Amino acid sequence: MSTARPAVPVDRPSLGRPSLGRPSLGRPSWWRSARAICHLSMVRTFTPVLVLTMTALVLLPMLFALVFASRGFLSGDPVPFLVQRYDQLVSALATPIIALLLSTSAFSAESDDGTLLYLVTTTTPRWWIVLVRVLFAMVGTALASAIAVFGTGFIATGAHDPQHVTRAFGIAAAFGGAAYASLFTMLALLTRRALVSGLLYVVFWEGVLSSTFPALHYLSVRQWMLAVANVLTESSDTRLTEGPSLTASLVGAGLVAVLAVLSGARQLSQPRIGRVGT
Amino acid sequence: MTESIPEVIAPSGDSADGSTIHDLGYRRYTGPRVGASGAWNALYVQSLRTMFGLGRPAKAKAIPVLVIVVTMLPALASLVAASASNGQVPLRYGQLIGAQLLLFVLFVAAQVPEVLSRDQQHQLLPLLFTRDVTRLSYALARFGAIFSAVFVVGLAPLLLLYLGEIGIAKDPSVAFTLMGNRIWPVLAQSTLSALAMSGIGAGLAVWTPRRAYATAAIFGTFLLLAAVATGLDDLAGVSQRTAELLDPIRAMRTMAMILFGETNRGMELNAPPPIGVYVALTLGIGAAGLLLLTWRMRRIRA
Repeated sequence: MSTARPAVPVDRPSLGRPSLGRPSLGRPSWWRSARAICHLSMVRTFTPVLVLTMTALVLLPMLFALVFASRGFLSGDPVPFLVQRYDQLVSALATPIIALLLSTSAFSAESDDGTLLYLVTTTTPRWWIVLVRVLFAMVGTALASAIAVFGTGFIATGAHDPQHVTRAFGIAAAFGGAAYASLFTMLALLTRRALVSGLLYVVFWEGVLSSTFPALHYLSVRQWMLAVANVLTESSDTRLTEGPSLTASLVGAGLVAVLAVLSGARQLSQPRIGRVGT
Repeated sequence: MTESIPEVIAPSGDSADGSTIHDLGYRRYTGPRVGASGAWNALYVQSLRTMFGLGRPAKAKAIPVLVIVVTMLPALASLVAASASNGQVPLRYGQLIGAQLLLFVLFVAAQVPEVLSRDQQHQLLPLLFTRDVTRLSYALARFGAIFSAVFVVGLAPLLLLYLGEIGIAKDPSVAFTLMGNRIWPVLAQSTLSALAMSGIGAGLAVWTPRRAYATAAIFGTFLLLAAVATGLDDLAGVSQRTAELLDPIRAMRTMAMILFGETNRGMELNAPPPIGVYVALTLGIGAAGLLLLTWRMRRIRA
């Protein structure tokens, strides 16, 4: 793929095309290294299977909205319908899975085939590599979730958005997507089976354990997301009101993001590499 | 090392084109030849051991042990509660096993790829197919072992409850005559749910040589089906019970409740379809999984 040229371009006199002479190894250019890291992530992430999965997850709630809208007034009140779909299909399914795919695909594949070594042995600071990857996954997830939420809301209710429920969930999903992205990036660097352990987190921690032990709501990204949505909407659905407070959620998400960058950078100083040179 | 090299048999069979097969003196196999059934048995036993991580390092046993322990604990706890209250707290088989179904999914998602994907990852299929193993018998042996393992894991907590309920009675022989027929729902529930789960697991895992992808696919399928079913839930025109049939976990949960003759409020408000529907559904999922597995094995390049 990109093993022929250095993974991260270093600062050199801008000549249009990189010169073939010895590169001057100075301080890295933040912008250009970020672009290169993002490019590497995209190459690993946008494979047919993953793109198809993510598209399906974004389209799924819209499909139900289409059924809802096709029945006109017979369908009843759109607010409970939307809250239930946003909760079950976006914040419990689409956002975590898309975040998982976007944030684990690159690091996992690179440590599997050993190319992580080429990324780490550049002059780019390791925390910068992790930060760019976290931001990449955050922006991607936030965008995809926002498309899912606003698309569903628009199909179901048109532009008038009763009780601001669509706007609330759009912002909440973007926030939750960012929290999930940092959590799963950390997972990708700390564990060998990031995809599977992320799925286990989504199914067991968020699903089973969180509904059995309500105290875990304070440690659940999904509940943080609902707390944000609760503040922004006038709807008082019970799904929304029983979560943790807004401050707890914001602090929690911030802590996860900082922890992801710090522990990820630490982990990259001794990168775990599956095969080297194959 | 003291054994003598078997006698070199002079190759006398010159073939038509004049070429000869030289006996280079390698040791021959003189043990019994077990043929196709022996190969099938070996494959079955090996798959069964792999499902539980036997003969492999402790890390491979983690998930099976975890699932067995965690599913047995609630059964044990409710037995203790029933015993302490002198039978005042009833044992609710259906509700108990319904809550454990997701853990059986974890067992399937973690262990089935070990059985099916590894052969493709390490390119073992050509080696197997040069023996007395046909593609069909490979698929049947693997599926049989997966089903047996899931059946045993699903049966264990129910059997513990059943034996425990007889055991905590004042007079076990009277309890046994009262409870004798209770064994049929126990067996039916574990057979049917094991069939459906191993069908989904085997039908999906055989498509990829990467175990992580297979595990993700199995989990993703259960997650997605559950999401679609809840998405349809209160959409006008689709009844709740119809939507439920799309989600195997919820369907199996309701099936367990019906089999053990229990109800909850949701079932009283909204009567579920007859048990035959659930039996047909689980049998159908199992058959579809087996069909997918044999179809893939027939076409795979090996």
